[in-house]
Amino acid sequence: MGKMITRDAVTAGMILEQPVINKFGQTLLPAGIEFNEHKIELLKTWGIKSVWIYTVEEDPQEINDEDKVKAALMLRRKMSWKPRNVLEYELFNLAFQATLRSITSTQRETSDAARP
Amino acid sequence: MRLDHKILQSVSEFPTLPTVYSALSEVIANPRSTANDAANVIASDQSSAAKVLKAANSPIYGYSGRIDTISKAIFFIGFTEVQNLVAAISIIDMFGKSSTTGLFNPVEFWKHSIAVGVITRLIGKNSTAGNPENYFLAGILHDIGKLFFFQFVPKEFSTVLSLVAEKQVPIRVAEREVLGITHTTVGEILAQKWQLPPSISNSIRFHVTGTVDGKADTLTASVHLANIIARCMSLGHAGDDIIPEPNEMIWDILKLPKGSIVGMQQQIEYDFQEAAASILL
Repeated sequence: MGKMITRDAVTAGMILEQPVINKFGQTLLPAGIEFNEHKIELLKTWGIKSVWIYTVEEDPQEINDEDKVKAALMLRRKMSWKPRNVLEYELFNLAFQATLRSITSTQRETSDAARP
Repeated sequence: MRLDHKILQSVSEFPTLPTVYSALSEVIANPRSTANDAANVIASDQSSAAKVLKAANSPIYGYSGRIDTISKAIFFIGFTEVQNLVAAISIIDMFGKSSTTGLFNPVEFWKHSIAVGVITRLIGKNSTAGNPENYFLAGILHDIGKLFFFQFVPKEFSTVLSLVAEKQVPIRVAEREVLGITHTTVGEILAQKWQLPPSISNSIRFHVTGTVDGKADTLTASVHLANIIARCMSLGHAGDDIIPEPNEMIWDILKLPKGSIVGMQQQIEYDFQEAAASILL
């Protein structure tokens, strides 16, 4: 699964998911290459601000039921209606995933801050 | 003086769009004008010209990196969309990105507005609309009335947002109670004052309901849905956390296939980040 990140967030070892293309349509870096310090420097030289990289699918085991319940409760406060069709279920899923992400990222920040 | 009268007076005294926009409108209205004439007008305002080029190269128009002159921008994305970009950039500059007060953060507000602009255009491309001209600007400006309240009656607008947060009432209900007028009405009047196309002022007025006085309108339905998607994805912040229920009529109006909302997710995230970086910087 791909994710777009800013150039400053690229680190050595990350894999490019979509090719980097210049304004003339020429491929500067093909998809699948692994970043090293030199290639990160090249991004700066070319003025590329963001790239798509591969991310590992989040292990569903990592998201525990407690977080899911928390997300559902938080979402209920924002969303007082029930989906009536497939597209509205898609909206609900977007909102649920975003809420879950905000819970897990807050937890991650808290545990990072507590680390010596 | 009653608060709603005071607000309406401030709206009437609010500046029109800068000269570059009116000059551009005149050039575009003249059938003998060329792309170069329009480009010269935009180039007279270097700050707008640079931002128009950045925005025209953002992925929302699909010409990333290929547009290096205003004439090319006009050729690729058209007179109307270039004019709309000038309007969006001018309006963002006019209001500025003043500091946060209470529950309202102007930078987060603009991020939400740009997200709605990007999503409205994507919906336009995926729905029955065909030509998504005006969609980006309509989305960006849908909540402009809120920003007006924030600048001209900040204390009272803060009371509105607190009321929404505490009682979970729709913002229009709280606005009527505290201010006597809603952000959709003020937004529509501003759009008319700026002489934006009626389709845009209509979508600003009716984006909350999703239809124009109960009648189908693809642009209004698109803005209505885009606002809900941006809120579901937590892109920016419009002042309250409520995710409104979609008007069921919009599904018949837009005829989006199953899977299209989830299918747009990655594109939305990418377009949003690029558009926000080019327009807000």
